[in-house]
Amino acid sequence: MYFRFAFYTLLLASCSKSKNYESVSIIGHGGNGLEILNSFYHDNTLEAIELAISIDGSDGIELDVQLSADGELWLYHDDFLESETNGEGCINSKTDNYLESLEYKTLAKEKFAKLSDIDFNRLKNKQLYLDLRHFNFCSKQLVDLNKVIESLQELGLDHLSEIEIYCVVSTNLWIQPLLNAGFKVMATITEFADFESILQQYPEVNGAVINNKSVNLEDVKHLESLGKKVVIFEVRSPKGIRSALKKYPFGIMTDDIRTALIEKY
Amino acid sequence: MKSLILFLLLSLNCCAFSDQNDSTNWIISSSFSITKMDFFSGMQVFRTIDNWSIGTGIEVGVNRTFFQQRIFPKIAFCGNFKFITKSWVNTYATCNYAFSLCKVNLLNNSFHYWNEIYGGMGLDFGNRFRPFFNASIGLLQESFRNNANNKILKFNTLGFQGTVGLRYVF
Repeated sequence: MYFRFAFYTLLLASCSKSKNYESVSIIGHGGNGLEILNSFYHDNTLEAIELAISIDGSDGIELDVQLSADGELWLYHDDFLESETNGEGCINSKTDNYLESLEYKTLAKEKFAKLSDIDFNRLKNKQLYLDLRHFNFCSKQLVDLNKVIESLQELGLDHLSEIEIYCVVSTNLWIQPLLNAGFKVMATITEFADFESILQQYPEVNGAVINNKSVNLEDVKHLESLGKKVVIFEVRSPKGIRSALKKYPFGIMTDDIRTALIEKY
Repeated sequence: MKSLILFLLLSLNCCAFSDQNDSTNWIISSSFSITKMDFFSGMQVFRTIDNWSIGTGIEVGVNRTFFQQRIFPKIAFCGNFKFITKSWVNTYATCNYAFSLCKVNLLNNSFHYWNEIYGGMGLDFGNRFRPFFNASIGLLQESFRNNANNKILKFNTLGFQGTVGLRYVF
């Protein structure tokens, strides 16, 4: 009995954490995570946002933003409505009236939410990453960026000094117009080498959002030496979270905020 | 590797208890379960009365907490009703309540609490040593104090639990 107790204690003590990850921000991916099995609520819903920002130690959230046919910004991750909601088609082709009637295909049936539904006062001193979707998969056309910028400005997001807002884009075409409109912009990249060319073309870009597998500690240090921020996504399991933290990025977009906080502290 | 060591140690626990056989109404078990919040490993003790068995157990979170030097203890109360017994296989309905807590953020002392009420089905087989499996679903509630507004917040969702383990019947 004593042997077992001693062994457990030693085992626990052997898993020592000597690193200090204080500088790494913990960002809730889609609110409180995209992994439905472990999440309390569906991603990009008001419930998920409330849970994510209420956990002490979480530094912000990432949300997926899509423009409706009426020019309103809605929160939704997938390309097609039928994959997660009781609707069908693409957000870009739907009216606000239609989208307001939708709910998620979960047991809780969370309501479909728009960006303007968020109480931005709750996000004071937090980071907000807006993943702006640029492609309409139904019409196979690019979304009108001017309308996206107008909608963001109507919400006053270009002047909210108490929230650190970043527009995350995966097309280079949107970088300069968003920078010109006064927004901070981060580019989503699949390979680290892609960012060198982005940086040459758009030196004012604020940083990169990159998959955990595609970046290492040296890459992060290199970009930080240039004054650019790196946020790592695809961070789900404890092992993945640990590996992302060890690269000391500006932030990690995690699907499991609690585990990320346990790993961080 | 660490998980393997933990599993072996728990197996040793069962073997150690199997030497004691002075009652026919008690069951002890060692289990490993998967839930929404973590993998849990623990031990239980049950008292059987006819087709009913009621028991309690303690478990500890493994994957997201133990290896991160964080303790995630859980205390559970469980009731099983055996309704099909065929030779050496039992099928039973199970319901359980569990309470667990964990300090998520060490810096500001923020404890998170979880209450779980589950119902489900299970089966065990064998004689004295009885491997068992059960699966249950139910309500999972997380509560914690938000330091920014000093309010206790509660969040509810559908929870689940899948358990495998080994029982020893005295």
